[in-house]
Amino acid sequence: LSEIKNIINGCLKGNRRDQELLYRRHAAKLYAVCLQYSGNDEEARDILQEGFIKIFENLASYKHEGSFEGWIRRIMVNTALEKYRSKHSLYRVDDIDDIPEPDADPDNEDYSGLEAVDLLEIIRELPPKYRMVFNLFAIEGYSHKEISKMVNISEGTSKSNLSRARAILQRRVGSYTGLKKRLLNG
Amino acid sequence: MDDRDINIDIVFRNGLKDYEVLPPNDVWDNIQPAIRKNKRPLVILRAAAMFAVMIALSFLAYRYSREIPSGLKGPVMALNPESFAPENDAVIKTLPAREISQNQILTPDIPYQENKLVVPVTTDNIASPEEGIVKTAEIDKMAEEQNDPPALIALDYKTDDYIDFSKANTLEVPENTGRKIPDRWSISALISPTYQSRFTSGENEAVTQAMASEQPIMSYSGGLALSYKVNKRFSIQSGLYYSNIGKELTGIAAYSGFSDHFYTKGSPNFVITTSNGNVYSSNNDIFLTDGLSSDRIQTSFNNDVVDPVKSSLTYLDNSIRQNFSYLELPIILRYKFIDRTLDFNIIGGLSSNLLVNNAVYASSDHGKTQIGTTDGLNLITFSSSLGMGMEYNFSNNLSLNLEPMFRYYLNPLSNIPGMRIHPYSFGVFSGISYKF
Repeated sequence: LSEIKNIINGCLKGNRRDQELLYRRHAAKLYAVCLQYSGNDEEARDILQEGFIKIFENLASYKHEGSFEGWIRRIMVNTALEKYRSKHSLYRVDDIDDIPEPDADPDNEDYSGLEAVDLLEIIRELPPKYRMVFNLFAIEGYSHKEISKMVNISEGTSKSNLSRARAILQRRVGSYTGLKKRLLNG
Repeated sequence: MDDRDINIDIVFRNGLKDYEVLPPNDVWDNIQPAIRKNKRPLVILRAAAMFAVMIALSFLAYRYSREIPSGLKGPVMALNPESFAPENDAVIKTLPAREISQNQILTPDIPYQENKLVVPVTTDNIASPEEGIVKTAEIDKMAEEQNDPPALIALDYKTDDYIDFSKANTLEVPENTGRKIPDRWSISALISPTYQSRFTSGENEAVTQAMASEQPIMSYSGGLALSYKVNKRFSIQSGLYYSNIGKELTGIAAYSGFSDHFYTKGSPNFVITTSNGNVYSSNNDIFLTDGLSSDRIQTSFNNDVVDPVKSSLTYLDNSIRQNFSYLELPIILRYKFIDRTLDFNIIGGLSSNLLVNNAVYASSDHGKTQIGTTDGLNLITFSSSLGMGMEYNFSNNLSLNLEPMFRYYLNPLSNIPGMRIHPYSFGVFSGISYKF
């Protein structure tokens, strides 16, 4: 704990070595978060870059009271959210009916064969608005009330989007696991 | 919400919890310049610009000083009226005192007249009596052997006053044939980047903690100095200088846009403990937060009340700057211990400094944003200085100065209970001097 405190203090004093150390320690985990919130690698890279600049800029407001990892993750999620809000009008918001149905097995709840890389791929295939609501609710733990303010939608829309996101994910997870099983069984 | 929904949430939450993906290498390369937007490069650029200006001025001065002799036309004599005592038969008068540099060969410019010998002279002829004897003898011989007029020089417009070498074989030259009496007054323009630090004594825990997060910033000092030469070695100098010193208070982040969220009136929103006294914020649009210490800033708007990220405040900088400007009136003594083309001086003196500006600000890409002022600063401080001066003489009047100086403040900038803090600084002054 004191080590990260020293690194943070070094960053606050403009120490370049500490700044790079802080980045190297947390970049991989935060990049995974960025990928989770973005549809493509370029966007994820932009979020990571902007997020880290914000982390360094706001480091003075971190009081060493809560988890530092949680604090920097929140900043990265906020950055992803800002990116989403700025680009939202550019996205074609797919309705659930527009999405091609995967070869799904909705009753299959055996997700044991899925690895993190598969889950990331599945979640990134979601339409942005479903992905954002699902991430904020299921992964970050925000309530629909909070999400409605963050994304600037109604609570009802937030619930609806979450429901649709889950439906898509369940089908795709089923499809993935089914496909994996078929591949394993020859 | 059925179990399947909860299950899928858990699958993704747990599955991605510790997942890591290495980002592309160029991301850090892009982040680094953005967070290293410190103003130090700007300081270096300013110092470099000043240095370039000084070099340019020096070059112009050098060019100017070189052009003066080349512009002179007509008969010019190197002899100083005081150089010759008219005791011998050799009578020499010169043009009204005009200066030429030593060893400059003078060209003949008047027609030769029989029996009125005029001699080519260099100032070397004057410098050595023995040499003068040889040369005048040679000239006599030349005059006897040749019908052609020798190379000539005008010594005076009145032909009666030319040297009559037929009567005199020698010239007695007094030893006092050197430079003319030096100019006693000189005016100099000097400027220097200065590095600041301080000597401290005493105990004040809050101030000691605050000092740990303070860093000196590159400061400047410069002005005009008038010097009077008491004798060949000693001179006394005074003038008017402007100096700018300060500290960077690291770890204190500044945000603007605070007044959009919080209306404040009356007492300052933030009070910051520093080694130069308390800083009281006067700009209600500024929010400050300290990432290094919970004691340095006293405010009712701490992070529990205001989150700058959530409140969408505009980030300005990760440190704030405390800046003081002084008008200085120095009294300085100089002792010249090497007197050549490149002179060396020992310099020492005292200065009284009047506080003329007191500001605390945050810098951002959009410029400086005033935060407030430092309380309790002494209006007048006194400092002593010691240094060495190098003076390169371009001409009799112009010289380039380079003066590494150490300065120690005899009294603190402000009175801190339980602490004595005496700043000191080191700078290299450079500039030009004009003697008159």
